[in-house]
Amino acid sequence: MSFTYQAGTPFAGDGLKDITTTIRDGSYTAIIGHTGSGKSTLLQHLNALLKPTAGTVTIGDRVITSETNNKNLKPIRQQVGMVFQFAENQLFEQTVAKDIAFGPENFGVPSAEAEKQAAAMVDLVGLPQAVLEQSPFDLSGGQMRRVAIAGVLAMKPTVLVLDEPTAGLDPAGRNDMMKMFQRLHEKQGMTIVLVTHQMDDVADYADHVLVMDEGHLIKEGTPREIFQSEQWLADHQLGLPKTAAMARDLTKQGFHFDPLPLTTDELADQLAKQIGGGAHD
Amino acid sequence: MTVAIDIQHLNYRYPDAEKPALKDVSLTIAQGEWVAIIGHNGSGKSTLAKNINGLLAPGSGQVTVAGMPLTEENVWKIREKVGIVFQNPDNQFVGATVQDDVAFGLENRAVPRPEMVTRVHDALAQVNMLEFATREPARLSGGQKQRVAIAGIIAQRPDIIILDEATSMLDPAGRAEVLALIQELQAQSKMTVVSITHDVDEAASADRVILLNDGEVVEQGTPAEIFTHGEELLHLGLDVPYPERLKAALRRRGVAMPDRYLDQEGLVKYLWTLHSTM
Repeated sequence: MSFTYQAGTPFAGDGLKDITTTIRDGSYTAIIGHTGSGKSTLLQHLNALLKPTAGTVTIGDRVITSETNNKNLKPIRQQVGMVFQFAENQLFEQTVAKDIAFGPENFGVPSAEAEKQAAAMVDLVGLPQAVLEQSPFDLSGGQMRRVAIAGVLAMKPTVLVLDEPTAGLDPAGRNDMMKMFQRLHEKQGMTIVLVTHQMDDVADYADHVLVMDEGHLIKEGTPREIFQSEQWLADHQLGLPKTAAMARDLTKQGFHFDPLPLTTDELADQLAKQIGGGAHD
Repeated sequence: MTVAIDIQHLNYRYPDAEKPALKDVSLTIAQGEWVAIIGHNGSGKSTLAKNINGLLAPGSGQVTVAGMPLTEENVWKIREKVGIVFQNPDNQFVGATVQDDVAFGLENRAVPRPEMVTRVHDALAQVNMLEFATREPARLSGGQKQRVAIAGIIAQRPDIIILDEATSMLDPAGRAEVLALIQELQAQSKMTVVSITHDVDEAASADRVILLNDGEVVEQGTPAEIFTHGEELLHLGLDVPYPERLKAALRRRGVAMPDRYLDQEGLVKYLWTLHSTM
């Protein structure tokens, strides 16, 4: 598929160029690329917020083309939940319960039922029940973001699309939130699509990576395949996960790693063997 | 040593809050020093910053900035000495163009026009944004926006610049760009820098790190001193530099590791010594 911004006007600009890929059911896919590479544009095609100018995007069994009518897209929006950057900016209701219930109510769920669901959702995102009757604006930034995510989860999506969900959070908040997505992925079998600048998160959580550059999909593979070549990453303004960078520095001093370690534990395991500490285990 | 900021027994409680946001905070920051204040969300970092330039009035205790006690009478003079760069680049623009925005603070202070023009030009040159002078701020990247925000501050020639999580909403490239700029400005002008941050790399650039938890100063020292408290920092919801994390993982595997703080290069060297003596 390809996408041109403001097609047919003098302001037309290329967004995405000739992209072919598949995101598998139950996978945890990371999309990386520097700012302006087309990551967020690609994301908006995953629930038909944008329609391709050429080619097709198939979501479940629905095929989206430039001709697709804007009507009847609701099932797709329900199936693919989208968490935008700084999602807390979208909160507006008087109470957390009402804010979370807003989506399902729009989809025809009766109020009482939707508010009952809201109670289950705050649980799912790790907030206490006490927040339900609070104003979302009295919560901390991290809690507000969880409420916004609960609102997306209340639609019972099977795919969760996350655009830099941890930006601006403190380290503990970031870690808690990434663990929460991992739980949704593992326990509920949710398909996760994560746009991020955090290479450590890609290494720790994703099983598949798409690399974007200037609107092109320039590479895809497992995290280990993607992080194999530092030079290639640098050429595309991307960095290494911290573990891989440490392994690179150690390799220069005569250490040997196979396969390339991506997590601190993988690196420590291989290192301990090479310096003999592992003998105590 | 000339003192830039002196805080003695500062207490602050938000109206209606159950717990105080700051408890008996005392600290001294020297002129030209770069101090990082770290602590998890809600630890009191930003409250402390707002007590320094009088955006919040201390509940009790004494705040002295550039030799002036913070009082209702002095607050405007103090704000001339202290510039704050906030977290969200989109919330601090008022001008239609980059140069209008940088000029805004100067207009408020009735700086004569010819001088204003020079100062705006110099400030934009210093943050390397001169070629964007007539652009719309909305069309800049996050890192560029924060550079413009910093230009708006330095055009006013403050003695002290406070960065309130100024890099936390930027991508890694933007973050590196802003951090490099601050390092350069500090080296040139000997400005006092107070950076409130979660970013360990930003904290590691400071001369001194102050650790806040639940409104209290729990630790202060050089980055190397603070980062040896690896486990404790993680416990307080903070990050530690990567070499400390790897050291902990190796200790768990029975490899003896030194207690002193090692940066990445230091740890690589240390491990190489173990490796080559096998």
